[in-house]
Amino acid sequence: MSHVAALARRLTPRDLCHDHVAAVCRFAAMLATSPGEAEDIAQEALLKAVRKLDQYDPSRGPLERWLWRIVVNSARDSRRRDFRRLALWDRLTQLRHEPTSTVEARALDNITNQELLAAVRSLGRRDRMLLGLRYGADLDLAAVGQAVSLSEAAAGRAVLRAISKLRTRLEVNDE
Amino acid sequence: MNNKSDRLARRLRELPLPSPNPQEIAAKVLHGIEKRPRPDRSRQIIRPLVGLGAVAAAIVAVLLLEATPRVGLHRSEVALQSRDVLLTAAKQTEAASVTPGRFWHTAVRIYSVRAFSLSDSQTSTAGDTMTNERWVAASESDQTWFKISPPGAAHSVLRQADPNDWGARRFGLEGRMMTLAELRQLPTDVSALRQFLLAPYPEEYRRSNPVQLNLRLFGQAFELGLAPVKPAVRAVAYRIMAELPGARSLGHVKDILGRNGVGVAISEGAIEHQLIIDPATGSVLDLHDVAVKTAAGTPSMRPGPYIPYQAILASGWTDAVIPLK
Repeated sequence: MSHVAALARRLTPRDLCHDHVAAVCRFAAMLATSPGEAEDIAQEALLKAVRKLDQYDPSRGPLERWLWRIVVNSARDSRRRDFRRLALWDRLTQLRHEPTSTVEARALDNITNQELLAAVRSLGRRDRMLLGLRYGADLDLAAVGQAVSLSEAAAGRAVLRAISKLRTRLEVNDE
Repeated sequence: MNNKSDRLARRLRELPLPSPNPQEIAAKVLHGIEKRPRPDRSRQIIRPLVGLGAVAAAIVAVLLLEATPRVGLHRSEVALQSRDVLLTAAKQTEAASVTPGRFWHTAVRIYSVRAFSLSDSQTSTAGDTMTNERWVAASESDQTWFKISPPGAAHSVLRQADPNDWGARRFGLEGRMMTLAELRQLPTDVSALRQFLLAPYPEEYRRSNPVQLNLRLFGQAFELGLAPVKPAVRAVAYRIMAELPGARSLGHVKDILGRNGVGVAISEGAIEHQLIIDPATGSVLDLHDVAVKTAAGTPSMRPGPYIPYQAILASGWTDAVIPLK
């Protein structure tokens, strides 16, 4: 067994959870449209990661890159599951955001956290995922790009587009 | 990124999110891998089909037990009885007298099922039960308390809610996290409450998803059944539920814990959601799922009795934080 492999072996599921669960939860909360969905996403993603922990090879890159690829793929998979469509529970708390065309333009400072969250949830899933990685999990643009298979520059542009859409939804006027 | 986008980015980074509790998620994950069935790894990779549920929502399940589903009633009979059952509950609810206390206490026992595919023909399951309690303080000067019993944990934990936790002061209603004051202002008029319940759905969604819309309204009526709203609001919610196309009566039934109640159900594909209400008080007793047929794409789901459930052990005002035994 190589030295790096030996080091990787020492990383236990408990370590992985301890070090990354908070960031995964914040990412999930920004991606999801309900608290229940956020919990599912966070839990499934971490479960997958700890189950694959013995496959992690440090010589192929840092743990964070490996982990966030799994988290993002898990979040994508979660949407495809048939049973999710069957579950009333998941639908109970999903937010359907109304069009904001009637909202008057106003200053960002006057927008409440609840309104901001509702606007985030009104974005498409890809935009929410990008914002969740960048501002929920607080990853840098290189890490965001690696998680969603984009270059750092492309990830930066994609995040900026998501922010721009969010501004439009909020009809922010903070000139 | 320009200045304006910078400011919005900063708001996003600092946004208090209704995030899952990291400690609880970690506990569930670690418990999940410990309880995972261990098949012959050379034959098949175990694929978890579902995630563990949570009190906020998200209980998902695959039904594996073989049994005969409940026999449905004749359609015309159903419509009439469903209406009657709920209207009776509504009348009882309306007549209930409520004395507000310091805390709105809810205790929910949750059973969730995790299913694992061992092979095309083999499955294994692991069930988890947990009981969560919450005491939401009515006054800003009081603290909200949680008692969480993660699956597999030796002891439950009673703790003060983090003020940043949205569950500390708010109640979910179709994703709208509402304060106690906002809930108290809900209208007691059928048409006004219906309008409020419909508000989250754009017109286009209402037109093109009538079945889903009914399910969502059913879900909101359930949420109102657990929330600290005026009895009259809960009564109106039941009236709205009674009018939903597709709702059917289960008549007088026992809930998952053996308590007497009246049931009303609504189907969603292969699943039927069954809500059991205490006819004497209008309180929700439990909500559970029954698979009524094999669903396309989910061959492991076979018709059978309930399995994942949320049983309401307590729901009402109290003056003290005293966990259930």
